[in-house]
Amino acid sequence: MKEKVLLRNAHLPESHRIATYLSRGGYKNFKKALKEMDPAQITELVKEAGLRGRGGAGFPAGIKWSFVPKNSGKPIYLLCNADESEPGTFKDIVIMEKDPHLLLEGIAIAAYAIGVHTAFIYIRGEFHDGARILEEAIEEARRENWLGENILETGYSLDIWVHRGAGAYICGEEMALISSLEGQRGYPRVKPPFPAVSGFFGCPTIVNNVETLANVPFIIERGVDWYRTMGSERNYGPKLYCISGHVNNPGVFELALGEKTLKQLIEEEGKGVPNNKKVKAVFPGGSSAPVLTADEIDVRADFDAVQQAGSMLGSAGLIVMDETTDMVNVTLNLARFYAHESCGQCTPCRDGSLWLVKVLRRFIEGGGNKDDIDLMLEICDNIDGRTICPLGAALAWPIRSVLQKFRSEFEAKLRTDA
Amino acid sequence: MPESDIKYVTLKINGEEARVPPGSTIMQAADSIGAFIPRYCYHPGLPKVGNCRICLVEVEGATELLASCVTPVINDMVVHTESEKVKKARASVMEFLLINHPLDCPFCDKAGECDLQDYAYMYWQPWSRFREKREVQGVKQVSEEIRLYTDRCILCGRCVRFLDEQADKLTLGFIKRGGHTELEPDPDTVQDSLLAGNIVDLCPVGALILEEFLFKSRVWELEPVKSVCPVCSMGCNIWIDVRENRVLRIRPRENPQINEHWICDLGRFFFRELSSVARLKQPLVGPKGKLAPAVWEEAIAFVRDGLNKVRDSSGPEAIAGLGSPYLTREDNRMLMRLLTEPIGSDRIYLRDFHKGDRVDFAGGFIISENRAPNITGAAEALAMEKWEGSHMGDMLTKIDAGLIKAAVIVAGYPGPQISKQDLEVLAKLEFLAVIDVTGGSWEEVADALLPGVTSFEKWGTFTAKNGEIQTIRPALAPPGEARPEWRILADLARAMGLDINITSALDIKIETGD
Repeated sequence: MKEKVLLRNAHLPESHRIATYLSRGGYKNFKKALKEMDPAQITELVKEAGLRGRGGAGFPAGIKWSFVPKNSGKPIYLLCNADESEPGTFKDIVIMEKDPHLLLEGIAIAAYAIGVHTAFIYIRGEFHDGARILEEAIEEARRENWLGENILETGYSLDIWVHRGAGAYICGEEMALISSLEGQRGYPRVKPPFPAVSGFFGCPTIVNNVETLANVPFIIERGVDWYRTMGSERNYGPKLYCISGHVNNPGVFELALGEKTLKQLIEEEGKGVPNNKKVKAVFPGGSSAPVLTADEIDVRADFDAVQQAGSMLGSAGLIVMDETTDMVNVTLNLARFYAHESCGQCTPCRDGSLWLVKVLRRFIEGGGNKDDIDLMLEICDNIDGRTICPLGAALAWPIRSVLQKFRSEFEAKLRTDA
Repeated sequence: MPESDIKYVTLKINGEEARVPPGSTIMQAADSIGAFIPRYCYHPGLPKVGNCRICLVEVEGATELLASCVTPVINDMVVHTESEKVKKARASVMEFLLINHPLDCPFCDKAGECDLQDYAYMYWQPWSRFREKREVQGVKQVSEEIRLYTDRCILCGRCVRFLDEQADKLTLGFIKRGGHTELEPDPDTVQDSLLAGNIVDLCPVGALILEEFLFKSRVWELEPVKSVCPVCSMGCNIWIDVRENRVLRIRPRENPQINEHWICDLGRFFFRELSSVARLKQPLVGPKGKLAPAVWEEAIAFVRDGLNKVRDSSGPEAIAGLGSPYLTREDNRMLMRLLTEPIGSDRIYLRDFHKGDRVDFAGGFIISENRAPNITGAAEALAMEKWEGSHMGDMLTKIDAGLIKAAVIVAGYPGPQISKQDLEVLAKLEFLAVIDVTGGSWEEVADALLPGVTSFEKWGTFTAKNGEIQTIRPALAPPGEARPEWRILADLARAMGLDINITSALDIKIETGD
């Protein structure tokens, strides 16, 4: 990647201030959208560019926008998903704290394209600094009429509100996010109806991730052909990669989507594993992805390639584990996270996740029976695909993959007195 | 939309064709052809959530199993509800639910009518692979009448949805998260909605328990009797659960036009007062104030003679009859026939009834302000064209003026108490025969006091507020010598010369527009 796109302002002093943003050409793309383009044009452009959602699902944003019915008579809402709770993921916070106006401009252009006049940023409750910075940025933008009534005398009005969550991973799932924003418990809902048709208070609603929206101003500015110089077919655009775990240089790195392999990212951006240890396992997409062993990470770090390798890029939160890692403990850690975060609405995830925790705890304390491993595999199978929302799959895939790929570590912990 | 214009959707379920209106779910389609799919969270009277996951079925072309209760049908869908994959998924849901559900069956009231028990029997195996410590949650009070055994709860959410949508008094909710989620009553609000009792019926397990019924009986020892609630004019359909001639429980009986799936707590707990009513158990005959027991033959003869005497001296118009909106159409019709045919009087009156507060619930359920079960039915049976309210005042005025000298009053239970002033007027009658279930103040003014029965002790029909004629059935045996009112009146009519042979309430035909 020749030049930073999403992180182009992040290193500057006072990068979060509107003065800095404007001096770097900020909001001129929103102005262009308002004054020179019509909403349908913008949606088409984003569709053509092939911007895929950066929240984890990778669904094409432009296509999602086009699901909104034209004449429902109801207000349309845009919800920016800033819940960022996927383990190993910390990229959205960089945008929100370092370049909040980039996000605001992305929201504004998307809102104009979809026909939205009220947008919300649902930010995880723990990000109090991020929320404050966003609120201040919104105030700045309002003062200079980039938000509010009759923006730039075009007649278009838009308000953006920051809403803080209350500490639930599940509220990053779009339907649970909507429920939470409505003031209810963060329970996902069955689909159909899909949120684009009936979401927030029954109105057409689009939910987009922070990074996804941050891409939008650049598409307006430089067009499809430029956007497609980054990445490869069906996997276009700039991407923020989070690398954490057993690496010398953890952090957030911007490259073109699929520019490097997972292995290269770990060795080059992450500067390899400390103490000359070797990579043992990598969770590429945040933790909600099947684990990859050391010989499985030589794959291009984009959506399709990682999927073909049997995992998923998801939120691009790479978690690196070296050879000293006890994979049984990792499994318990995973199970505890998902059991804690399960909303509890549907039977398999609610009861299955806690069951896995209890079996694993007993396992680690020396009480593993020989049919426990197959039992846990079967519990995963009974959760995966049987739930209302993807949290079931999110817990089943990594846990099942560790049980399968590192089975010997579990077998080594079986009771010897049985 | 006319029937012919609906574009039905056809699909195949287990090889059989189902044809349903568009917008139906797979579960509704399966129900329509009798292919039962188990369900916990789904209830036809509540919004759908699809969270229990026991209703998952296989649909050709779909990668995963789908929740049949929330998935709309599409033309040419091919559904399998009993494939191996589906059976395994169902068994897994059972296994998950039974991890924490305590083995309370031996002392849980729900045994025998519990969906968890039934589905465990139908879809699972009698052993579990769970070896860990269970989540244990305590017993809580939802209201004075309702107890919550929290760890029996399978978190289907029906009670929460019901209180929110129908009762409009939401005092139950889930607290905590994941496997630690539990149902919790709001500590700051009293649950006093008159629809609250319904959550006990719709709980699929024994988590919500009615204090009234707690430990009283096993449900298979109950005999359910179809009847109609006697508390207000709506005419909600009920089941009366009886054991050894005692009512132990009232439950709603489904009626889409009147009460859907619900009853109010006034009807649900009405039977309680029955046990404390001092029942008349045998006919009592005069003189006034010194009534003594008699057998039925004597009592009927006594009343016949008393009425004949007044008719002979003052003419038939001196005799009046007072019917009741607490009695069946048959009871009231027989009273009318008694007065008009053998006696020859048209002084027929209809007594008053209790008034209460009308309650309109959010979901459409209504408790009427008119607290009697058969107001229009009684008026119709007494051939009253335009009845705008009680005639008691009219009748009492004529008694006071000496125009009416004898009366047959059929009070009905639970009719309002007669006031002291009215009793003083009634005392002026030369002859008064009263049929009631309890004696009370009648004993001062009646020449004959005959034991009638409640609506739980006879066959008959009531006309509901919406005009439907509905049947009540006997759930209890009348105490002692008490008899249904229609029978007493028929015997009296026959004794007074009417040539009839009425052996059951059904023999009393009431044509409308008569």
